[in-house]
Amino acid sequence: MSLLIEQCLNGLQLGILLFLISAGLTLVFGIMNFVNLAHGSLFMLGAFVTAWLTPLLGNYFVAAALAVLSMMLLGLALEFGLLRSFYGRHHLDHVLVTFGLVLIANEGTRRVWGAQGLTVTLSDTLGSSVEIAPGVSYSLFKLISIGAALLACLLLALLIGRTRLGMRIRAGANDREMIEGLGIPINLLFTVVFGLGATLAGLAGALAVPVMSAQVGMGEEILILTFVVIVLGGVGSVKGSFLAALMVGMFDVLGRAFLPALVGLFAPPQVTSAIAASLSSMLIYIVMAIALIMRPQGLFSKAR
Amino acid sequence: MTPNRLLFGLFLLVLIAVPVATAATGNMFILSLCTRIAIMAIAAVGLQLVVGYGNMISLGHALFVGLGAYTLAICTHFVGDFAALGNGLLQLPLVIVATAIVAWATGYVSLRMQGIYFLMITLAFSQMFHLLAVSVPTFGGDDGMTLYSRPWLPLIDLDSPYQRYALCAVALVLAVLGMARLVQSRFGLALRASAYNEPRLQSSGYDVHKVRLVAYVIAGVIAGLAGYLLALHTEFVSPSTMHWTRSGDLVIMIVLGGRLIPGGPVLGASFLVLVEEVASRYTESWPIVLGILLVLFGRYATQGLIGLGKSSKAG
Repeated sequence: MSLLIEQCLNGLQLGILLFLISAGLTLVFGIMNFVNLAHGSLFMLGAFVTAWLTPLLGNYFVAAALAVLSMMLLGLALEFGLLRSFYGRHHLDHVLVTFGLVLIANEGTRRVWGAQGLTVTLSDTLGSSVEIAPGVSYSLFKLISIGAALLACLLLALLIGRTRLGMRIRAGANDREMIEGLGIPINLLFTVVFGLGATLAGLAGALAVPVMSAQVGMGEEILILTFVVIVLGGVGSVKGSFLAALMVGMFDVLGRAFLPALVGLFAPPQVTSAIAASLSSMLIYIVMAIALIMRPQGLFSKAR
Repeated sequence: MTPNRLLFGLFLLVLIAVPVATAATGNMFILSLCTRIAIMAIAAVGLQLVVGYGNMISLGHALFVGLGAYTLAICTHFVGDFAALGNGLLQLPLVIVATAIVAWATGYVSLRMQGIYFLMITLAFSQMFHLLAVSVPTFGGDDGMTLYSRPWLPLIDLDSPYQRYALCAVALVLAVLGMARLVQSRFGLALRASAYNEPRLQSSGYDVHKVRLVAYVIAGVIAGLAGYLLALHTEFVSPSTMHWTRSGDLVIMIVLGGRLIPGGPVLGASFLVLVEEVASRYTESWPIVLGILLVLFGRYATQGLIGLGKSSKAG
């Protein structure tokens, strides 16, 4: 029972990180119609900068905040200096330039921080476990990271739903020409949205690194999972991608934890390990395929 | 038509010049490199049907290259038990059937979405097969498999690098010519029309989903055959053949060569493999060089490599 609760919380943690990443990706795509394969690289760099700064500064939280800030600045600089000129062009050009950026980010990271990657050692208090229910203890850091990510989601929802900037962002997603015609500086809005997406990806990286360690290529692994989330959640539905992100997180974590035992009930042990390993890594994609066959418009969006 | 004919003639000349230059210099590396270029070009020429003419960006096409390669590797793995599995005349139909089935199944699902969502799903499917290849220890797992013998084909000795090159070069010429024909055919017209005005094509009585699916399956099978050639050339397969960056490479080849230029992917494939080869001699971090080149191309050469040639002549 305690294992189940712990794994569910792990699933929640992965799910909420996936949502932070998918929110930024969807914003950028929805408003600028820009395909950003390098979004995962911002996640990776956020993780690496956090892991690099933590021992230097001696404080994880300061390191994480600086990492998020630097990802925001990097996002703004990228948008302003390079990607801005790609809006309105063919999606293949977006793939070309962001694929180039992924190559640069991955290889640059390998050069700077080495191929083995970096890990964060948390302080004793942060790394300890707390009892969340009778007989069930859970890592304090993971609880904090779930809380921080939920807070970020809430702030994002308030920003998009309740502020003037958010209103303009929503208007921009609906009708770009109209909001341009109303005299709103669309270029500035685009830069802000891109910076927001980069901040969210950096935050996800900073929150993920103590749990999964920073690795070159981690950005694309999470990007592909994020794609599954967006597809499952239904095109352009924020609520849908939130539910889908939690579902993907749960399936992935619970599948890895419990599938081997489940397969073990039906198959001899020597076959079990191989089948369970491949099944649990493929599970989420199989779920995606089945869901798409049954509900092509996405699991959580209203029928077209 | 004239510039196209000129380019095609030039392309044939280069294909013939490669083995001549190899024999003259005795540098077998040129031949091996050009064999690899030809193989990648075959896969890219096939994918151009989907990405270029059909205007559907698939970012998971390395899946089929890997599938073709693994089909050969698995056949070779069991050749001790069933000698017939070493026969290319049996392997080739197996490759075609396997890639066609997988392309049909994944295409059927992926094509329910369009644009960027199609890209996401194809990428997810290729990742799924990549993970499958990584997690099956019988067929090498993460380390891949070495092929201890090459297949048998009539009239051709695949252990000879020259004959292997000839096979790949002929296959490439056939792929380029076949694709040029296919694009002009009734089916090719329907596919190109679907990229411009889907509702109109639908109302002229075409099943757009089916047209796209057929294109996807054709591209998948061509990639599978390229994967077969790749495995018999390198005598090695590994999950990295299906890694998503390999799919990205194929798409980049098409963009660099010109999305809608017949045979353009051949130019893109040559460029990409050569850059990789030359840059990796000077620095271990050659992906950075390639990445910077791609960013610069995207920024300044909006018409691909051919457009670059034109604008530099004009300006």
